[in-house]
Amino acid sequence: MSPLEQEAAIATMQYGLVYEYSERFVHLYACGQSQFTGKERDSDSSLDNFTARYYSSQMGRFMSPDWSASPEDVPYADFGNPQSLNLYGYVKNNPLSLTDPDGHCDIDGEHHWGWCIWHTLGFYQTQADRVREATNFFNNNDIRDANGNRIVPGNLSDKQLLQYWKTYNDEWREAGGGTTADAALSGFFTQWGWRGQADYNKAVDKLNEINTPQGTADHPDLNGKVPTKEEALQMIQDAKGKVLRIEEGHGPGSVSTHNYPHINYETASGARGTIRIKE
Amino acid sequence: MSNELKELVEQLEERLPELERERFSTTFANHIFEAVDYWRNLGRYVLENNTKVNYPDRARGELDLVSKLRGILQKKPREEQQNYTQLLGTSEKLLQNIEKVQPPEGGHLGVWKVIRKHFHFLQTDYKFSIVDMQPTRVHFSSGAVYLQLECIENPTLSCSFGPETEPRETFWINDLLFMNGDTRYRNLPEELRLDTEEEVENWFAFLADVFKQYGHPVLSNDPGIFARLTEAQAERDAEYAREMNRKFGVEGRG
Repeated sequence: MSPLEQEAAIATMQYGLVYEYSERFVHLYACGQSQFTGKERDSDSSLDNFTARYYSSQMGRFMSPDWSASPEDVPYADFGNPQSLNLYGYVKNNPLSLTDPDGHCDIDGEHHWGWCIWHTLGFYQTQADRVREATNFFNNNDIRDANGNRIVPGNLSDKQLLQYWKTYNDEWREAGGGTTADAALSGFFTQWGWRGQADYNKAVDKLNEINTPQGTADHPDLNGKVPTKEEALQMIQDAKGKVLRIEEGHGPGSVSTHNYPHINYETASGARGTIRIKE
Repeated sequence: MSNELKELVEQLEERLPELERERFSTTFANHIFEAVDYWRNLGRYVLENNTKVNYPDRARGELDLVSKLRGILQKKPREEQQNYTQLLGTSEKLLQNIEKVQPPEGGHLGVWKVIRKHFHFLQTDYKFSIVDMQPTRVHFSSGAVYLQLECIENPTLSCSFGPETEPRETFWINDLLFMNGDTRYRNLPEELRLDTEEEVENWFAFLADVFKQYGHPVLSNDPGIFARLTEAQAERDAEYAREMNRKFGVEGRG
């Protein structure tokens, strides 16, 4: 087992999850601890046997921020996770989608009123914005380069820093099947709206609702909608339940009425649950 | 009892690999595997002193399932009966043991004690009663309004309230804060840490303070209060959606 695998295994055992997002980097996201480290992946080894691989490959995301002892007054960017502001910055700093299209704005030496409006709204960024946010991100996260050295913005030119930033984004996007790193960690849009919106929370609430005479939670839908597998997995995690199995429909003659794809889970209080998922 | 329980859990665990291999041979085998896997988990939770589970309730429901499976088994070929009869007997014994496990006196991490202490004013000032108690949860109702408090790391799920109507309307602590212009709704953690009695006490003391500060119209079911809360929730929701759209692209489209 490589040192990286050992670290991942320890994190898996202690905190329950490891977040793997690319072939070259591995992020360990330690739930319940203010730790967030990234290291180059050992190319000769694989994390496929780790429990968390299931989560990363099946769900593509984890969202279990830590408690914040000193929450900051920025709406939604600060919830519990001291790193959320960095991650928020990371969103805006996606060098692929947020570009300076014509390079004319009087912010950071560029000028163009239309561009500036979008910049002010946070949709476009100048190079200086990107440098600031990349600096912030790498200063606050232990990200290693291909030689195992920590990326220290203070030791790099802007060009070098942005190159790392681009690589980092590219790999995350590639591994996430088209999503960006920020989306993989925080933004999750569902049939019920964004994760955290009222309808989403109401659907999550349902998962812990015991609704059979046998004392189980059996939900062929969540407030009229059937979740995808990915949505259901996220919702079970948000309901503080535990996934037991992802199942195909049981065949004819079964005593089970679950003749559709479903997930067996345990509710937060240890009751048996079933949620239907889309084909 | 715990020695016997441990032995019964181990007996089920010994059978599990074989049951898992067999699970797709017949529908019945699949049900047996799923059930035994869960019963083993329940037994493990007792041994690990997991105090979140309502063991008598869970066990009673599962004992019904044992009877149901036994009824089906009687119609199966002799070979199948031999394979599973003893297993169901062991499972039944385990569940009977689990059924006797009572939750801790104060609930999980003393949550009953904490909630009774901090929310006593619901009963004295607003005539609420406790209508349901689970190891992690206390459900209050005045007949017109409910308030459910739960020791769960998701802060939204840990406190919900609303009118006693069907279908149930649900509001959360952030709605109450938002409606009253209290910006703390922005700073609630996304994840609570509730691993110790002190952490449980701190969280529910905070919730009780918010209700003491802003809860009077809700708890006394003032006319129009839930309509105002509905508006506040919609407004807060729209603010959140705007923020998420700005951060992640409109409706997640990047």
